[in-house]
Formats: sequence, structure tokens, C-alpha cells
Amino acid sequence: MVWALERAVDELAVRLEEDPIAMRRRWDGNPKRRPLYEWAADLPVWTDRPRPGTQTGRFRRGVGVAAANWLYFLDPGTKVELVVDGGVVVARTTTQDMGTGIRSVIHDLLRADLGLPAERVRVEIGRTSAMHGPMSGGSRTTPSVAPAVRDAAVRLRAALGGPTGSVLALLGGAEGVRVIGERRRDRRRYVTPFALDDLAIGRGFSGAVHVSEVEVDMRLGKIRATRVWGGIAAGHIYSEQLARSQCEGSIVQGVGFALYEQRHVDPGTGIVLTDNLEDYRIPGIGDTPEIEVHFHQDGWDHVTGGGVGLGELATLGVAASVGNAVRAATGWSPVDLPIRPDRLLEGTSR
Amino acid sequence: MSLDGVVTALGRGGELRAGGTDVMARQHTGCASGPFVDLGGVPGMRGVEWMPDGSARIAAMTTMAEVAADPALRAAYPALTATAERLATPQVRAVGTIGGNLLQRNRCWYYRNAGFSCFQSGGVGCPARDGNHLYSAVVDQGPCVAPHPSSMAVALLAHDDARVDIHDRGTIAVSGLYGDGSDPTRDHALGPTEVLLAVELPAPVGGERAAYHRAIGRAEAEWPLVEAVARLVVDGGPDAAHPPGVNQVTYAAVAVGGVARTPLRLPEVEAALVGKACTSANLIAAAEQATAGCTPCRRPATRCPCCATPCWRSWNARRMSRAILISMPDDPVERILTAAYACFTRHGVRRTTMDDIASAADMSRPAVYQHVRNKDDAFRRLGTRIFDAALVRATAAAAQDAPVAAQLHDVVAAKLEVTLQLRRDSPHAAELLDESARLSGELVEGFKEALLNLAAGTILAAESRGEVDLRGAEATEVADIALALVSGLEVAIADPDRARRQLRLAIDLLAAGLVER
Repeated sequence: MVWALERAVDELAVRLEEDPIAMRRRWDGNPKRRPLYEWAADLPVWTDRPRPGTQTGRFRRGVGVAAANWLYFLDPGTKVELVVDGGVVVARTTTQDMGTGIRSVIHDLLRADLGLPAERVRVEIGRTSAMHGPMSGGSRTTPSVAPAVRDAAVRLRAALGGPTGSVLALLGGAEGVRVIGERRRDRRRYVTPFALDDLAIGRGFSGAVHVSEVEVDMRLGKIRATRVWGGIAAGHIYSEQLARSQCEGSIVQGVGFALYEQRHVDPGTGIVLTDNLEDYRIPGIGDTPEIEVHFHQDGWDHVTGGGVGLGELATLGVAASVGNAVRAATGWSPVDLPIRPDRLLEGTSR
Repeated sequence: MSLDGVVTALGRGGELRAGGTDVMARQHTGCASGPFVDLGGVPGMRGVEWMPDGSARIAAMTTMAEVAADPALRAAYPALTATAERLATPQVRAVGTIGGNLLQRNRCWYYRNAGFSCFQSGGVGCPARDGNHLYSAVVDQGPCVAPHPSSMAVALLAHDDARVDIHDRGTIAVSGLYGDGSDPTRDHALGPTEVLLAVELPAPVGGERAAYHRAIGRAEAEWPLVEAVARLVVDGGPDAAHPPGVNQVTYAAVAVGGVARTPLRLPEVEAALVGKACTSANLIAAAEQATAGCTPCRRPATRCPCCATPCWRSWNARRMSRAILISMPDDPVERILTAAYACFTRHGVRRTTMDDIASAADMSRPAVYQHVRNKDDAFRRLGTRIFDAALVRATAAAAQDAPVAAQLHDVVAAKLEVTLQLRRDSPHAAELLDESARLSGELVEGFKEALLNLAAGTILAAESRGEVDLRGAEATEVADIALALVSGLEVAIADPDRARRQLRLAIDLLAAGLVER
């Protein structure tokens, strides 16, 4: 959907001979994306981009932009239990980490809030016997879990007598101390009128703006994403390194959506022919662009913890920005995904 | 294990395994069940052996990485090593062998899918022909439409008289290894107990320019939609005395892969090249011949399940001709410098960017950077090339059998001609020639010094012949005066022919004063 929408917006901008970023800024009702548009419009790659139709050689460069929205989902019933066990603070909740990183987020927050070394914090997740936590998906995990972890840290500090600074010295005498942190309600409540126990839609949309630069080989139809910038407005970033890594991975995946990934089936039997990673193509290391990620962290003061999820958000617009860059480089407007070499050659030969 | 042991083991059933990169992948998808007989322990199956006549024998278990990195092979068979270093991935090249590459099975996604039965997997019929044939052959040779996967086969086929040595059978031509593609049950002609021992290449062709190109969607690690090997011998070769564009192609060998059941030689393309000048127009015209054998998709375009109009397969044919075109051996540095010259003369050095040069050379920016460090580097090398060419002319002039006046004139006229050419080509010539210019100053100085030495040499030679009498003057002083004449004429050139006449007159007068009376 983002592909279709953002390609269409770009097409309008091209036909109206307007700057695609300026046009989006004028139209966009999401205030969180305003600063991202300003950031994107000031990027040297954007200000120095080749004007459409000015290139004639075999290799052409194009720069494209796309914006994306995502809902703010959360699990309002999230709880995190902290227990002091053998001088180690153990955090337990039922959420899972499939590589999305919530284990590190919990660990890092507790270390920072309680002033503890790494070996004094242990995270036990993925067990149904623990306190209720969210499923991992839909960009809801971190905005649900992280505030509950911080709440639990405050409660633990209070249970230990409310010291300032590190609680390390007190852990030895606090064996068995147990607190439960909750995900406190947002100031302006939620869009969903009544609380489903494990899903609510919060107020506000997160926003992203991606700028992609591609090089197109007009003779062989090969497209290379050379550089991609990702601007993310999802409020407070709980764990910068993880978030950055996730946004970079999202861009690689988005490039794959745009250029490579396609599921082929046999038309007669419906058997999937691309059932392996040789025939189902994803970007390799040589196809990975240079990536820069920018976080705009303001605008989520009404949210407990100040930040929302970014998993979907960071992927959504990338393919469309690559498509728009191809449009800028070649003058041909791609409609189908992925933009395979044959499609490009067919489109540009008309 | 000895070779006989391997053959005995194969006789009991089973499949030969070399590097294992294909066999093991097929085992995972159920296409190969084993048992496997490893060739790795057999002695004498690795390395390159050179024959007295200069030909080479590459043992079958030599890895692709070893072939690609061998300097002697690189010098003798550049097409072969260029292919070896581009196929697959570094990991596969490190274990994949040349024999295994030649005898690997095809990549058809129906053949490798356990849900289908086809000619290749012992069944009847070809589900790909009427199914999803996105990557099928574009040259129809038989019931099966899976393109042949071996890149090395394409490279070998591009060498006349390349042969493979088969245990207990002797050597056969590479084309014999693959047949005409009419047998849909196999990818090569070897029987189950036959072992490929080595690849034998003919004695190298001198002065060969070779290229390999594969058209893939991603940067690396993809089976080629089409791959092409081209080998050309161009009379003269590119050097200062033979500018590109006038050289004649005396030999051409062009082969393609990924488009047919077997690797293919393209005699039409070769015929269109031999005897022609090696110009891009002629290369393009020759490449257009590549689609001669292509067969269009059998289905009407509207019903083709994998592609709307025009069908991928006919598109693939178009692509094939294009890929061959760009694999035509071409000297990239020559191309970049020619493009740089065009840019510098059009915009001047300062306003030219590397993007301009890349676009004029029809190359990607990274490709340009592989050969030229930056704009300054391009400028210096261009200057060197121009001055070197002029020096070649001047040296030839100094060596000619003529009166000293003619010799001296032709030597110093080389400088005037460079100036005239640059003035004619560009309004920015002054920048290139300006001795104080940051980049070219050193080059111009060196050029003038070389001319001075040449001119002095002709005068000294004339004196030793008794043709002139220097009357105590130094030969370099006289040469200096001759060059000063040129510099003076260069200051304000209104009419090139007038400048040439004036130079001839001035040198005649100078020489006349020296000739003994």
C-alpha cells in the first residue's frame, strides 16, 4: 500500500513539476514528519540530485523519497517482575525475543536505571508462567515493555530503601525482594475505547522519511541502491544501538522488496518454486547500500516513556523511495515489484 | 584412493564428487541420493602443467580460485581466468573445481524441486516449458529448456581446440562434451563411470584481448541470465602510434551461456567482426547478430503466465546481444581517457567532474575509479598520453633519412601540432598547455626537454655527418632557438597554416645559416 501511495504521490509531484519533499510537507497532516522533511530536504544528496531527464548515458543516478506512517500499538496490560536472586536482579515477563532485541532493551534499561554492572542483571523471557507481556510484533513490544521495566526499577529502588545512585551495594542484603512494574496508562488514554487486555491503539502516528539513491544500468537493466537515508520519528529511542541496527536491517530488507524478493509458483500446480534462498533472492552484502539513520525523538510527550515502536515503520517506505529514485533516474515509472531487470528494460525501451 | 579405485566404486553405483558445491546442494533437495565417490584423494588431479609448445593442461581438481589467480594462465588465457574470477562467490570458487564446474547439473527450479518429475530427474516431460519459464533457455535445442549452468564451459568453448581428457576414452573436444542439446536427460555426455581428468588448452594466441561478462540482477552470487566470453585479436593493438578506432580485428571468438541447453559459439557475431575495424559501431553491429538463433516464447504473449508482453524469453534474447556487446574486449583506461579528453575540451578541467567522465565513457562511477584515481590523475595520464604520442612522432622524424632542416623542422613541429590540435578541439586549450598550471606544468616541462634533446641530437648527428658547421655553438643552444621559435609562434595563432609555413621558413633559415659553405 505504501508502495502504491508513495509512488503515486511522487508521480503527482513529477507531473506538477514540484519538489517531492516540498509537496509532501504541504500535504502531510502528520506533524511528526515535518522535521523529517526538513532534515531530508537539507541532505546534500537531495539538494544536489540530478534533475529528471538530464541524464543520457548508460549509467544513471536517481534520488527518490518516500514517507510512511505506522500506528502506535501497545499492550497496556504489560507487567515486568523483578526479583533479587543471588545478588542478581532478574527480570521476568512473557514477551519473546526472536532477534528483535527486547532482551537487550530490558537489560540495558535496568543497568542504567539501577546503576548495575552487566553480570548483576539477568533477563528471563519467553516463559508463559511469568507476568503478562506482549507478543513480539506490530511495533508494540518496546513501547509496552520498556515503561514497565522502568516502573519496576523505580519500585525496586523504593523497596531497597530509596537510595540514590547504584543499588549494587544493597543487593546482597535484599535476597528475595520482589516487585512488579506496570505499563502506566498514557496521559491522553488510547484510541481504542475499552481496554483489550493485550492490544490498544495509542494516540498519534509514528512517521518515517526515506531518501534513496540508485544507480541504474540502462543497458542491462540492473539497479543498485547506492545510498539510503532513513529518518525515523518514533519518539524516545530506548536503546540507540539496537534501534539503529534494526533500522539499517529494515533498509536492507526494503531494498530487497524493491529489487529482488519475489515468490514464484508453478502456474499449473501452485507448487512454490522459490522455496530456497538461491531462487528466492534477497540482498547480499554487495547489494547493501551505505546507510545513515536519523532519529527525531520529540513529539511523544503524552506517551508513557516517550517513545513508540519502529519495526514496521523503518521498512515501509524504503521500497517506494527506491522506486521513486528509479523514476527520477530513468523517467520510467515502475508499477510492479520487484523492479527486475527485464521490467526496467521493457519499461525504459518504450 | 587411486583413479582405478574411483572407477570401480562408481561402477557399483553412486556419483562422483569433486568440490561438492553442486552435489551437496542437490542432495539437500533430493536430486542426488549418493553414495558419493570423492575425487579429492586421487593424486595428480590438481595443478597446471605447461607443454613445450606453450599449451596448458589444467587438472580437473584445480579450484576456480587457483585458476583465477594463476599468473601464467592469466597471461596466456585471459578469457579463462576472467571467467573463473567472476563466477559464483569467493567461497564457492575456493572449493569448486574446474572439472566440477564443467560437469555440474542445471539450475532449473523444476528439476531441483522434489514436487516435480522431468526428463532430467528420470521422468518424462518438461514442466518448465509450459510452466514458469522465467529463466529458461531462449535458444530451443530439445525437449528440456534448462540453460546450461557452466561458466567455464563457455570460456573453454571460446577457445578453438580446447579439449577435455576423459579417463579410458582420451581427449574430446569441449563441444563434444555437451553435444547439441537434443538429449533432455543429461547436462553432459559422460557416462556414470567416466571421469574427467583434465582440461587441455591450445597454445595461446598472442596479443589477445579478452573479456567475460555475466548479466545478473544482484551484485554477486547469482546464476547469470546470460553470460558471454569474447576474445579478439586486434591488429596493432592500442598504443600511442595506433589510436583506437582504426585497428582491424584479425581474430574473434565469441561464446555465450545461460541461454541454451548447451554453451554456444556465435559464428555470426565472429564473422561480423573479423576484418572490420574495432570501432564501437562495428561492435554493436556484430552484437546484433547474436539474436539470430533465438526462438520466441511458445505461448502467445497474453497467455504467458510469468510475463506480460513482451515475453521474458525474447527479452532475454535482446539482453543477450547487449551483454555480448559490453563484453567485447575493450581497454577501459583508453575509454576513460578518451572520455576525459572529450570532457576537458568541452568544459575545461576545473568544471569537469568524475560523473561527467563516467557518463561520457558509458561506465559506472565505481568502474571508472577502478582505473583512474581521480580527475587530476585522469588529467595527468591524458597529458602524458598526448605528449607521448607527439614524442613518438618527433622521434620518428629525427630518425628519418632527410636533410637536417627537414629533420629539425619535423621534431619541433611536433610541439606546434600538439598546440594546434588542442586549440582546434577546445577553447580551454590554454589551461592544458599552460606551464604554470598546477597539474600539467611538470608534464609540459618534461615534454619540452625531450624535444630539446631530440633536436640537439639531430643537429649533432648532422655535424658528425659533416652536413652542418656549428662554429663553436652548442647543439642545445641551436635546438633551444628552434623551440623558442615554436613558442613564439604559439603565442598568437590566427591561422594554423600560416603558423606552419612560418615555422618551416624559420627553420630553413636557421639551418641555412649552419650548413657549411
